[in-house]
Amino acid sequence: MKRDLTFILCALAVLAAAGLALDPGGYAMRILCLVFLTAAMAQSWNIMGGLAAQISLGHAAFFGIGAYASTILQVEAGLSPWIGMWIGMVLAVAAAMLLALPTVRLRGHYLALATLAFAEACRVIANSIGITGGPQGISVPYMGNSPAMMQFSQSGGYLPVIGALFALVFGLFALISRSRLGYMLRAIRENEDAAELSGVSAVRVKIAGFAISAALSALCGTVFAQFMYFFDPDSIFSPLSISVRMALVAIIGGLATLSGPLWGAVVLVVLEETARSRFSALPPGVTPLLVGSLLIATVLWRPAGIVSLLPAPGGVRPGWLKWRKRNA
Amino acid sequence: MPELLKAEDLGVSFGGLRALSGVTFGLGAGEIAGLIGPNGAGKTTLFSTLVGLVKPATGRVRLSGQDMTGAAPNRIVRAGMTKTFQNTALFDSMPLIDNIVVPGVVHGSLAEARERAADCLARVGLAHRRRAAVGDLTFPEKALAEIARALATRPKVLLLDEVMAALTPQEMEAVIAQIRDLRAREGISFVIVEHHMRAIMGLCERILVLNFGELIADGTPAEVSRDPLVLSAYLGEDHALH
Repeated sequence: MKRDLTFILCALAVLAAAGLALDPGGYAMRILCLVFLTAAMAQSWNIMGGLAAQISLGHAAFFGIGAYASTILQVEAGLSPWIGMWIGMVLAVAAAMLLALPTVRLRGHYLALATLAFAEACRVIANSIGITGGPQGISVPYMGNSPAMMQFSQSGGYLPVIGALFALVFGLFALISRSRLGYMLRAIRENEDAAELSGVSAVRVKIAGFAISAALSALCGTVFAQFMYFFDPDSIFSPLSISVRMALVAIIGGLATLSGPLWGAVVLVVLEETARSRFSALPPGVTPLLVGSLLIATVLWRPAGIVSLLPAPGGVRPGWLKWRKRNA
Repeated sequence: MPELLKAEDLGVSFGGLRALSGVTFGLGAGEIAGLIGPNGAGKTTLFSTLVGLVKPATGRVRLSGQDMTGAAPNRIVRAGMTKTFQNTALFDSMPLIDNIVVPGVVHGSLAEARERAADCLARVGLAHRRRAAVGDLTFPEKALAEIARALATRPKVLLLDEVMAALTPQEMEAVIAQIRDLRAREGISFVIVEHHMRAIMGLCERILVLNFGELIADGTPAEVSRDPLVLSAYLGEDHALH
């Protein structure tokens, strides 16, 4: 637990130091915010996808519910997103229950497909009703620098909010992974039949995990909406740019690990942004192809994620040194 | 002896294959029964049906008088019956001790679960391996770890599926002594699937014989080893001479 706390505090210290050093309205500040926001999104997914190996490709549904709930309440009722985010979380938990009850007994690809279909249903519904703004999308009313409305005129203003979100999601992950629930989630991941024969109710534990994971994803959705100012159903419920991205960041960084989603977010966001700025002159599609190829290479080279390159507790040699020695 | 476990007319089919048919037997508190039969006779299927991993097409399972037919495995475990896996099914990415902690966290605190896990590991002689990775355990150690994890559920009935396979004669003797000790101290009833005839005939006071999914004999080791049906289906004529 001490090690987990040290990691979270170090990450927050880096965030604070970078926040002080960077221009609050600059591009680098925006990237820094996106890295920590992406890490929090991936860590929310990691509770079910990593700890319990319940691969969901529908977390965009919970993320979108959080974004829409707080934004619609702000637009229609002038309610602060600080209050709207709680309503978004409750709605996301209700949606997770609705999804989990019929699908929680599904395993492997079937669960992934069912969750994917659920997010797609949310996208279609959001596109066809008026309150969401339909395909035209919805804009967060601009109020300048208004911390009470979770709104800031520069990216740097969001840094404390995103830092708090990061600390909350990562702190909860650390607590869960060392708790009774964490033991049961990991047992389900390893062998669901053996977990059941150890007395674990796989259905109840998965529903609990889904509910927590959905609530945190919704929270990330609210912050994302405030940070981006505009979104539409196709982007917020996107299987690729939200659901798969959450999974990808956790997998690249290291599934079921505390630090993995942060390393994954650093690599993915920085890689994408660098490729976008350096190779912008290339024909469309080349940049995603390059990024995708690099990611495939990373997963093939390090199936356990980037964390496997770092020194393990107790001074064990970093994985990449072992690899070099083996291939020398 | 009052019946703790009662299987009534159990039938299981996988597609067109009848894996179990009309299996009926009872097990008393503190009884040790052996379940034998040729490969494919339905022994593991019977165990899986009793603990709820396989739903029976016909029949009922009662535990302490409570109808457990079709109940989720975790409910049957909490009612007092669990099983070990023939090919072992430990939680590979967890250290050995954490494997045994899992049953304890279902009801109690982590501290209580850890204490219980350490006790269960000590009982099967694996206390010195508590921090070992599952991948570093030998097959006999894995089988003993399965028993320890099952003990951590506080069972009244324990179904052991070939836990003595690959054990040396000395290790087998140790496991047999452990089973007798658990029965004496905690009153646990056992049903044991095993192919080591010497071990099972010496340990069990009662033998059930399955063949093609049907229970063809139920009696003392002496009765079963003289049963012509059992001799032709499984044991062979040589065994009758002993």
